[in-house]
Order: sequence, then C-alpha cells, then structure tokens
Amino acid sequence: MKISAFTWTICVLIAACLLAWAGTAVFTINKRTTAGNALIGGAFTLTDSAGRTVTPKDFAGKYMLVYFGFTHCPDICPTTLLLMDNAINDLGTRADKVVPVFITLDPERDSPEVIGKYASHFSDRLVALSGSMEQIREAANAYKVYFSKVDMPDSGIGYLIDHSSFLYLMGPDGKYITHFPHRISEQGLYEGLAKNVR
Amino acid sequence: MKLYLLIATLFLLPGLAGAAEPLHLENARLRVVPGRDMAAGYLTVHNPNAAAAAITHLSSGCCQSVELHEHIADGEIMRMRKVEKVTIPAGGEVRFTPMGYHIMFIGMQEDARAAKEIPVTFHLDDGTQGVAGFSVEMLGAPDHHAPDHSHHHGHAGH
Repeated sequence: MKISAFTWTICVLIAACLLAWAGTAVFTINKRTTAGNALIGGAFTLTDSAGRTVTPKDFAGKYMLVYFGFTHCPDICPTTLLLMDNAINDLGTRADKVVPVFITLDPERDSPEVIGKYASHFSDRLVALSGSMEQIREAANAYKVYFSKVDMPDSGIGYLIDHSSFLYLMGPDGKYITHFPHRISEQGLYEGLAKNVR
Repeated sequence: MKLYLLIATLFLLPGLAGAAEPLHLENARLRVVPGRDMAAGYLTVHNPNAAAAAITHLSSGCCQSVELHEHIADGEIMRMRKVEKVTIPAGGEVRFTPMGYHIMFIGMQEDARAAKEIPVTFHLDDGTQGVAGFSVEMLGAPDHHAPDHSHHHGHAGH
C-alpha cells in the first residue's frame, strides 16, 4: 500500500493538533517548567539487553541523555549515538555522571537482545532499551516523541519508522533539564552538557 | 588511521552514449555496524556533461537489494524514503551524505560485510552502467572515537 502525501499531511496535522492540545507541541519545547511538573519525561518500564526491567528509578542520581531511534535506521541513529558518546567523553571526569540511553521505536525488530548488541558497538556506557509496543508507546509519550511506522512494500527494508529526533537531558532527580536537536555539533552538545552537569 | 578517509577513490562509469564523458563517482564508502546486515553508503557523483543524467537503480551481489534512499527532515521529524532515481544536473554534482541522499545496502551477506571494498553497479537512464567500489568503514568499537563526521569527506580529485 502506498501512502500518499495527502494522507501524510493529514496524519501530521492530527499529530500536531494532539500535541498542541497537550500543550507541548514537539516543535516548541523550549521552556523549562518551573511549576514542578516536567513536561518531558516521566514513567516508563522497559527491558535492557540482560532482560532486566528498567524504570527511571534505575537512573536516580545520574543524568540521562535519552535518544529514541531504531536499529534499522542506518544513517541518523548511528551518527547520533556516536555524537552522544563523544560529547559525554569530552566531559572528562564528569563523564560518569551521564548515562546515554537509547530507546527503540521499533520493538517488533529490536528485541532487548538485538538493540543491546547493536548499542555495544557504539559505547560501553550506552544503555539500550526495548519493550512491548505498549511500553514503547508509554515511553515515547512521556518524552513527547512522535513516531510512525511506514510500510515500504517496494523496498527490501520492509518498513521504516518516521520519528522526531531530539536528545533529552534529564537530571539526577529524573526531571527534564533541556533537549538538543540531533543535528547539534559535538562541541555544541558538549557545551550543553558541561553547562548542566555538575 | 582510517585510510579510507584519506584515500579518495575515483571510479569512472564507462559512457556508451556518443562523446559524453562518464560520471565521476568519488569517495564511495559504506558504514557498517558490526553484526548488522544493513548499511548506508555515501559518495559524490559529478556529471561533467552538458546534459543531466539520472541514476535509476543499483545492483550488487553483496546484498538482497541496493537502493537509492533519501532522508527528509520535516521540522524535527526524520523520514526516510526510497527514491526512484537521482538526477545529476549537467555540469553539477550530487552528494550522497548522512541526512541526505544515501545508498541503502539491505540484506548484506557475511562475506560482503567483512570485505574491504564492495562493487556496486550503477544503472543510468540512458541505459549505460558502470561499477563503483565502496570502501567498507566498520563503525563502532574499538575505534568509534575516530572522526566520523560528514564534513571530513571533502571533494576529491578536483
């Protein structure tokens, strides 16, 4: 089935309306909340490559740099994962305070084992998480991540996932601090981390 | 050091049509993540002729399929799509780079992933074809701190 540009426009519009209705349009997440309720982040229950259940509590006391992607993303996701690792390494003695977290948006193909193995090629510190589709949706919703499966019947790849592509920095208390576009430079990401990680 | 970043590979498509010069395919390279059978390839294609040329499809024994793909940035939403052809303007060039056009290697065989170079046949809209060798860049540990930014891949051969 081919998806027309029109159908996509409608889908995007609906998604945009929903997000706007939630008060946190993906494109305008700029302000840090001071009211106590972070707009970004919150509960998730996922599984790591060792089969352990992982929730935000497991990161208490550490900063999390969270990125959502999928292993069949051959281009942006590897680039971003390397960027994350390099920028964290640049923090030197503070590097251990930041845990990079890669959450799949394609749990059908990325089992915890698959994504764990994939992640191990990028960084020893990278925590790769998967789960059921419901659990992934819960995590993506918490981080206001847009994602959508797109069938590609004329391609050997089968299907791909369109997704919004931000890196989220969460504090040791689990609360949202800031986010970065994935196209940020290593220097830019390093500076953003250095400013916030104490 | 990663020699493939330093060596600019230049492959020529044998043009059959009249006096037209072949396209220049430069710096063809492939990023492979260990254990994955899918990878993205990049290169720069220069068309020295007075007429535009289009790459219509690709073929290689390395994989189930080799396809032309494109990344489309829609705000901060990233979409990847297969494209039917990539047109190289007359006297111009198209760069296949991360975040832009790229070549998808799907269902790569084990021996292809271990190879230093993978030959790919480019098919053009005028019926001609030619072969480019993609040097294989193994991504990730233990050398993942090596430069891996697109701006390191400049022009070559000019």
